[in-house]
Order: sequence, then C-alpha cells, then structure tokens
Amino acid sequence: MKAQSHRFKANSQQALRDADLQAALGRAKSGFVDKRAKAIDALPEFEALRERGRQVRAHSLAYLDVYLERFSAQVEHSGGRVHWASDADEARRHIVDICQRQQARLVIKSKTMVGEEIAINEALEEAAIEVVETDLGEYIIQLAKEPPSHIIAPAVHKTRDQISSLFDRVHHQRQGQPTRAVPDLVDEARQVLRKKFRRADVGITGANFLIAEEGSALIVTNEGNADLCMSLPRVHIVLTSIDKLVPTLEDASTLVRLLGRSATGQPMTTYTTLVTGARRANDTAGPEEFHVVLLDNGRSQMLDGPFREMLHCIRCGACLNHCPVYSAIGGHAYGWVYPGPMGSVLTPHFIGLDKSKDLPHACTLNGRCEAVCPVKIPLPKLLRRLRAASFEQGLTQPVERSAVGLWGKLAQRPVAYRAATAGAHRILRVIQRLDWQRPPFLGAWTAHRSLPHASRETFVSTWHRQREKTHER
Amino acid sequence: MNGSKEAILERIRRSQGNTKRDLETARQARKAIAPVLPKQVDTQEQAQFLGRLELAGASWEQLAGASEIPQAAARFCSEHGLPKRIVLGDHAFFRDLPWDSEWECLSPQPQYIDGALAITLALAGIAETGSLATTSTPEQPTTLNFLPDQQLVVLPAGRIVDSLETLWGRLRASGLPRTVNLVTGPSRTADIEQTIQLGAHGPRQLHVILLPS
Repeated sequence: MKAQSHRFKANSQQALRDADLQAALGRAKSGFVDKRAKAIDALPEFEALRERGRQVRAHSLAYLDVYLERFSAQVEHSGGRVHWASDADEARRHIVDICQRQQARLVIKSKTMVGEEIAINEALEEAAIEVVETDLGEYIIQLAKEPPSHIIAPAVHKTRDQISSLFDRVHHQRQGQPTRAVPDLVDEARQVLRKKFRRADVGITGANFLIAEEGSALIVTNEGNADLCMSLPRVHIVLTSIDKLVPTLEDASTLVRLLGRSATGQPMTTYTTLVTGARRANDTAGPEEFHVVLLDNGRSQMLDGPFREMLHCIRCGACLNHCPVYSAIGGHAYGWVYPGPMGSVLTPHFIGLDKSKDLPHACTLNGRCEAVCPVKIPLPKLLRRLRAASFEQGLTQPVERSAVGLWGKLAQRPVAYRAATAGAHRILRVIQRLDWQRPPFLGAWTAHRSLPHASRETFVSTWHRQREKTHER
Repeated sequence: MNGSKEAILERIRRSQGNTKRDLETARQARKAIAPVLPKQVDTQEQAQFLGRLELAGASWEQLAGASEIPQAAARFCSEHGLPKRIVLGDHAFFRDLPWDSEWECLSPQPQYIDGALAITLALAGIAETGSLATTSTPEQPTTLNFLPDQQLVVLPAGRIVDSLETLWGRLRASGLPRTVNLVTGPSRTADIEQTIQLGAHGPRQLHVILLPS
C-alpha cells in the first residue's frame, strides 16, 4: 500500500464530510467500547493480568535474540522452515519464491497486518498468482479494492448497504437491488470462499504470538478462516514479525486473556489454535510444508531508543476504539497500514516522520489509549516524543515554530509575559461581554468550538491576592 | 538467507547493548514474572465450564453413557432438520456405538464432509473459558472442527480442567501435535455492521454431549 499519510489533513476533512463513513463509525464506536468494558468488569484480575502482560512483553524483548534462536531451532526441529527478512522486499521475495516453487496458482490468506505492511497481495499478483482474502472483512475490502481501516475490523468503515451492492455487483453482476440482510451476505461469502479453500495451493496466515520454547505459532480468529487456510492447502506460510515472540505457552495464555477482552470483549476468541510444524507422518489432514517468515523491517532498531515500548503492542485495536480522533475520521485518513494511536507511533518509524508529520499531532492527549492498552504502552508519551522529534527536525509549520519561539522568549521575561497574558485576558473579557460568537481571525477554532470562558482575573493576580491575604494574617 | 538471520540478530544484540545472554539466563530471569490466573467463579469446574459454554453460544446435554450418543445425534438431526449424514472423529471411541443402518457415515477426508454433521471427541474442556480442546490425530483431523455445518462434541466430564495452563502442562508431557484447537462456541463474524452472525466459515451450531467420567 502506497503511504498517503502526508495527506492526513486533507483526508481527515474528506472523512468528516463522508456521510456513509460517519454512519459506519458511529455504529462501531460504542459497540467496541461497551463490549470491552463489560468483559473487563467481569474479570477482577484484569489489572493484575495487564501488569503481567506488560512484564511478559518487556521480558520477551529483553531476550529477543535468545528467544528468536530458540524459536527458529524448534520450528526446524518440528519439520518447519524459518525465513528471515530484514525488510519488506525480502519478505515478499521469500513468499513469492515458496509459492513459485510449489507452482501455486491460488493462495488463500487469513488476516495479517504484517501482510499489509509488506503489501504481499500486490507482490503475488505481480507474479501472476491469485490471492483471496478469507476473513470476511478483508474479503469485502479486497473486492472493494480498499485497504483495511481498522486492525481487527478491516471493513468497519463500510455500511451494509455498500456491502450488499458490492456483493451483487461482483457475485451476480447486477445492481440496484434492495439491501440484503446480514445472514444472507455472510452465507454467500461462506459459499464463495469454500470453493476457493478447496482449490488453494498455499495458505498464508499471520500469527498473534510465537512461542519460543515450543517453536509454535498461536493464531486466533472468530470465523475459523485461519484454520481452513492452515489445514487445507498443501503449504502453510506464517507471515509474521520478530516482535510477536513470547517465551512460553503460559505467557501466551496471559496475552490471550488480555487480547480477546480488549479487542472484542470476548473472554476467549472462538478459535484459538496452536500450530507446530507440518502434518505428522500419519496425519490425514494438514499441510506438507510449514514455513515461518520472520520480518524485522526496522523493529530491531526500535528496540534501541525511546520507542521500544511500542514493540509491546499485541494489536488488539482498543486504542483505536477509544480514540476520539479515530472515531471521528476512521482509519483511512491516517494514510497507511496502522491507524489510530498505535499507528501514529508506528507509521513514522516505517515510512519516515517527514512523510507522516501530522500523525503525532492527531491526538488530544486525553490518555484513554494508554488507560485501555492491555500491555500499558504509554502512547501519549510516545506521541509527545514524536512531536518533539518533529520540532527538532524542523518539520513543523513556520507559523507554529515562530509562535512557539515567541512564547519561549516571552516566558523568559516575567514582566512581559504578565503584561501579555493580562492583555489577552482583557481582550477575551471584551469579546465575552459583547457576546461575540465569531470573532475574526479565529475562524478555525470557533467553527467547531466555543472560545474558552475568561476567568474573572488572571492566575497571577489571583496568586498575588492570595499571598497578600496570607501575609496580612 | 542466513545472512539476514545473522544481520537481524546482530542488530538486536547491538540494540540491547551487546550484553552476553543465553537461554538459561533468559529462563532464570523469566522466573521473576509471577503467574496470574483468573480465579474460578464457580466452585465446581463442571458448572463453570457449562456456564461459559452457554455464554459462547454453544448448547449442551448430559447423557448417562456413550451408548446413548446415536440417539442424541438423531434427536439433534431431527430438531435441526438435518439428514442423518455424519462424519465420525476418533474411531476407537465411536465405532462400537449402536449406529443403525439409517446413518450415512462419511470419510473424514476434506472433500466428503461439507454439509455433514461432525461428531468428535474432545481431549479436554476448559472451565475458565468454556473452550473445547482437541488435537489433530490421524483419526480426528483438525478439519473436522471447521468444514462441517454442525458439530457435536463428546466430552467425558472427567476431562474438564481449570485453565489453559493445566492443558499446556499435559500436552507438553506428550509432545505437541501439529494442531491444538481450542474451540469456544460456534464460528462467528461481526464484520458487517458489528452484527454478530454465526456460521462464518466453521460450524453454525456447536452442541456438547457431556458423559459421566
């Protein structure tokens, strides 16, 4: 996917005017938030689990090289193969090579954000290999030729109306029909995709967690599509990244308890599957070959420095669901694979801060993302660090830079600073007394908000008055 | 290819300050992370398991013995208007049950089991989540959990364990198979307007038959 993050402001404006998108987002928001809250209320140990989850992630990263070597040895021991990829291009080549060696004509996929990150579908299509997404949401957006707009609900931006006409057009070559019911649409996708599953040569899945000690991948879905992808074709490729590693099955269990509840409000996702190696000698189903593609793509460098904690992320999507900015504009406006707060931290690392400089500013710093993060990533702090980096690199607007510079100079001169704030206060009081709703030059602010209510006096004069009183006593 | 492996590991080591570490050090350090297990809500594991199973959208019934399984399967078929076409998992367990000639038994090969009712044997039930655990074996391939339209899962009550951790302990002792499936309710999707719809890719119904231990 070609990054469009530099167009963030224009994309947001467009998203706010898109009535279908606003309807879809309005429906999604409360659903995710309420379901999560209910699931967490039902589990008094959630906070303790969250702390353990954070410790597990921190420990896994602290020994990442050791655990990666153990994982890789265990995969080979159970008859699988590990392919290391420093960047997206190398990961694409590994996968295309495996598929070409198999003379694969059809590849089926279950949802993988790493797959979006390396644009694997495009690479396979260029090699004349058909790729079909099997997660219903991913299938819908593949038909619509759109990228996902949410990391766990890729088609959350689509209304039923749009999906219905999309299916009519693609499956039946007809249009202008009445909107169909959800069961009808789901069943039609099931039938269409069942045929694809039967014909597929290679199945690609992601992995939610990799277990170092066993050399296993743990994969969760609610639909069961990943399980069909990994058991019907003769080759199974796990496309994943190095940060997904945890030491043991017990550690993965802690994260599974956090993941389902944080993502969809489920104590346990419907299908939680642990897969280790290829089919065994006497097995009557399962792939003959098992491959794991391990992508780095800058993660090993992120380990060193102030953004290390971002690698704790388990991709639950809770920070997106609780973000007022994401809820207003949806995922596409962010312009690349990972949207919302986690995306605003990750995207600059993958595509460059200069190409995504608005993302760290698309945040009200209300702190909800950090409060709901199942592994306690301090997202607002990381976003502030990116803002500072963006200022240091001279990426901010000249107006903003001179305003900050001016403020800095004022703040160093207490007398001038007091005079300026007192002046501003006086102007605000006048505007208020005149009941002036739309003062000139402030249109960008007042179009969506009221001016702040001026207090009776400035902080400094209150302070002085209080001090005088104390001295009198 | 190996070049990238070394390059990635080298970059990680550099990011970690190049301190010398090995698997044993990592394992020792990991011991400092105290386990956290959710407390059991119900004092009885079986009651908790069945409660969670229902919450996940599955149904269940209790039988007096395995010989009643064919009758229970017949009732399930007539209630849901299904033909008596079945795929049986674990043969050693199912073959000697009193199946009469009305049943059409299909081979568990993927091409034969579309639209059939699968009857499988669970390795364990997990009280914490209401999940059914099965492993892939030559007789009961993992596909039996996903290709059929409906699934009956037989679970002897003595196989209910408290948590995932207990299950892992047992599986590790015998060596991990290719697939361990933890199934919690029927297949579902909420990808269209957040409406939960059962039967996305896997079984539309999941019914558990509980046997005495």
